[in-house]
Amino acid sequence: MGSKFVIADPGLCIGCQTCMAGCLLKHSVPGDVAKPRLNLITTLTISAPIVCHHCADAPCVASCPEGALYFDGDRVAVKQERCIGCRSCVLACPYGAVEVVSQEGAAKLGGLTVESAPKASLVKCDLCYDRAGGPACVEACPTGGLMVVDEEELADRQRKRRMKAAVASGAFSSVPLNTDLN
Amino acid sequence: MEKHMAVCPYCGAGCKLNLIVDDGMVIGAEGLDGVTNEGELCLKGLSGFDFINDTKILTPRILHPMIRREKGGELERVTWDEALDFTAKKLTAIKEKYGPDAIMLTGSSRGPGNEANYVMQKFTRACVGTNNIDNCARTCHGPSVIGLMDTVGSGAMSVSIPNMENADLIMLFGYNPSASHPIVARRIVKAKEKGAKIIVVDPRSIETARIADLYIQIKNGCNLAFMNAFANVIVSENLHDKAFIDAHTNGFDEWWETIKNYTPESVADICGCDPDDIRKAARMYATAPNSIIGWGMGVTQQRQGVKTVHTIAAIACISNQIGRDNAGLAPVRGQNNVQGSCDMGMWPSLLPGYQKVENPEARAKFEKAWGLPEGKLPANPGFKLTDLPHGVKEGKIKAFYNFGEDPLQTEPDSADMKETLENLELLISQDIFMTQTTALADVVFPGTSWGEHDGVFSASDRTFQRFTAAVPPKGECKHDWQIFSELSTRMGYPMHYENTKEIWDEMRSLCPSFYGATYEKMDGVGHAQWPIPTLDCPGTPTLYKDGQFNTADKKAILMAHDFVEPTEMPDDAYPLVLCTVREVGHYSCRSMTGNCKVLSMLADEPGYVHINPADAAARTIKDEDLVWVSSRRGKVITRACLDERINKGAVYMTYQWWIGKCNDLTMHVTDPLSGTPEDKYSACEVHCIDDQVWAERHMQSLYTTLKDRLVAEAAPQNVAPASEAQ
Repeated sequence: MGSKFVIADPGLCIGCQTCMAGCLLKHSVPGDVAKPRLNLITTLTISAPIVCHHCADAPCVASCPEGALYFDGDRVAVKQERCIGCRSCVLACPYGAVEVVSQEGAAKLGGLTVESAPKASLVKCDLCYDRAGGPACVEACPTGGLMVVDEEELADRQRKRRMKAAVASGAFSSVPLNTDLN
Repeated sequence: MEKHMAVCPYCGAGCKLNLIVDDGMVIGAEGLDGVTNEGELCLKGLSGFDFINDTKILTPRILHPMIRREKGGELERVTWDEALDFTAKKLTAIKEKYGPDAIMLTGSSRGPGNEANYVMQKFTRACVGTNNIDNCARTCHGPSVIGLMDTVGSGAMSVSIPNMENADLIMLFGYNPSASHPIVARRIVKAKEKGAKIIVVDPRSIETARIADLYIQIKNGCNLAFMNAFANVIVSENLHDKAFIDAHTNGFDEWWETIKNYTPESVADICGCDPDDIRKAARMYATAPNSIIGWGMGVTQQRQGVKTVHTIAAIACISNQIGRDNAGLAPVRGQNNVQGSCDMGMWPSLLPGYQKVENPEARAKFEKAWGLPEGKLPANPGFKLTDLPHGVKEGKIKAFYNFGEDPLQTEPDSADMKETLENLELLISQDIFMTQTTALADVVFPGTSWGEHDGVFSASDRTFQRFTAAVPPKGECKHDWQIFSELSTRMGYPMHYENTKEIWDEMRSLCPSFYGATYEKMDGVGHAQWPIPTLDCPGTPTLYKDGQFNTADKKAILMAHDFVEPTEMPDDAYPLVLCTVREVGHYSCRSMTGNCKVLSMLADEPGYVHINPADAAARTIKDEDLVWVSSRRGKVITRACLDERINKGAVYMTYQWWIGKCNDLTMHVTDPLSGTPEDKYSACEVHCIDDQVWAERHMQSLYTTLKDRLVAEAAPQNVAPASEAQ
């Protein structure tokens, strides 16, 4: 079950695409697909890269008839060789964070190399699982606007919000509270 | 794997980084804890390194000297000796026939560094004997340099980049740091996090508008009217600092005679904003404990650029928002070393260190140091870069020595510029890439690239920082300062330097405000911020402390001017305003970043014209459609981006694209006080293209043809000269 993902703070985002460059630097190597896994989206009030949430009940995983998408510990991972390019995952993902690209690959026919047989590749965030130091995008962001959210971070945010709500509940106490304690 | 310390060669933020080298190839970059970047890099710093390796993604590097023996002939690879002899002979002949002022040179505000520029201006003044030397500041922050020297005495930022984050209020006026200087935008975000108020005044709803406390959307081309009204409010509401004005400024009464007429209501139509918003902004600015005004090309690339800078400086002075660490003026420079080019005297009226060519004592000092007879240095200011087109047309300029710039891409009205360059008797281009300009050159000198040489850059906030070579020079590339020295020697003024430190030490011995900036102080991530007059001085992050301005009597001069509307107003034929802006992932003419794998994957031809969805709908243009943009100068194909951040009636194109080239459309009209082109305002129209399949093919074919042409132009360098082949 996925439980970790990258989020962007739209207030800290300056729309500079450094996260996308960091992602591309990580992935533009032989054997990988050179496409940024995050996409900067801008509206009048928001700038933020949108990226896979590694959903706990991921619709992309459910949508794949071939098992090319699967849960690998904290993340939704890809078995590239199983991808048939049907794009069901693209249709299913509510974040628009999965892409299927067609790459020209050299196919083998017996001992002969046959040129450019197109091969579908599934492109989505892999949380830089094989990179020391974690996701390249988080490290690259010059304003510290990206972070990895994990169970601990979620629990911490929940604790803080519950605490805030508890403090605010003093306002509707049916008996007056001792404010001298503050 | 090795690491070599450098300073990013892109914008003026001055980010320190390590270049990572493996097997002679630059394979990565990582941020270093420099004073301005604190370890952070933007996308260009992080992924803009591989052009050094000659990727040939956009255009090949130049690795061997080439000449064109006859005008219009083919380029031919020759030995360095032959290339230098040929050039020396041609330049000498032009000098003898037409005089030294027929030769014009431009410095490079990009990778070469301060030392190379210093040697070039020395060659220009001491050997050629002219002040016809300029740099690309002319087309960008020239009005800031001139306007600030006129009023407060120094043509630079008065605050430092790190101190921006501690201001109580930052007002951005015609400046989009998120695209121009992400690492400065980071300081603005930090300021906001620390509680600063942010005001954005811009026709576009730029990134920073999203976190602004007050965003005022103004009409394009209204700057001086807006700022006059802003000043008017400060005085009308008694928010000015009378004691400071009396003690530290001159000319207030006369200044007010003009400003008093500019009530917010009187400019509401011109500015297209609510007069009360002008009042609100002025009150916020004047009453905050420490306010900074940042501005960029939105102010300077206008008809009244210098005059607007005069008014901005006056506003800071009358409000006493200047001369403190977190209060002052922030014209953040565009290119990595455009501050340095100005520092080094790549300016037709200034010797290195801002010493005026008209000052006989300054000339005498340089003559003595440079071993010249008394009276040898030219005393008259030379031509400006933007004088080149008419200078050539009028027969005054016969030779142009282009150092690391691509005027055919970056100057307005490219068709006119092409004619200018073709009509020269001699065009020399010293560059690292086969650019569109270099393709026209009669002499092509291959300089070493950033990453292949040492030197010092000046960051936008007057911070000198050293950078070092990471890999050896490729092919026959020579250090720029060596090329100038060898050419100068052949032309009768011998110059010889062993290394950049020797050049730097000569320079600082002649420039009192730079004297304390030794190489030792700039070791590693060290820096030296001018003025730094003595070896003991730690540098000066803040100018004009205690109201001491760099004018003759230490007082600021208040200057006011009446507003005049832009030159080419929209009309029925060309109903939209065209404003040229910057691409965040590309730099200058794009010869460097366009050859970087990641940066070219993130953004490639033909770029975009950003248009308000309503203006697009009226022309049946959809998002991502290819469209024609036309003006009285030309017509280009580009892609539409329907963008609600864009004000109605205006469109925006970034100037980095060689196919979607906005400078085919812009107009060669300049601010008469600075010679800076009015790139932010011309009239255009955008047309839909019905056959999008044809349009895609056409665009691709234009791009492929251009790339093939540049490869073909560079190809002669692969054929060794006969003398070497034997």
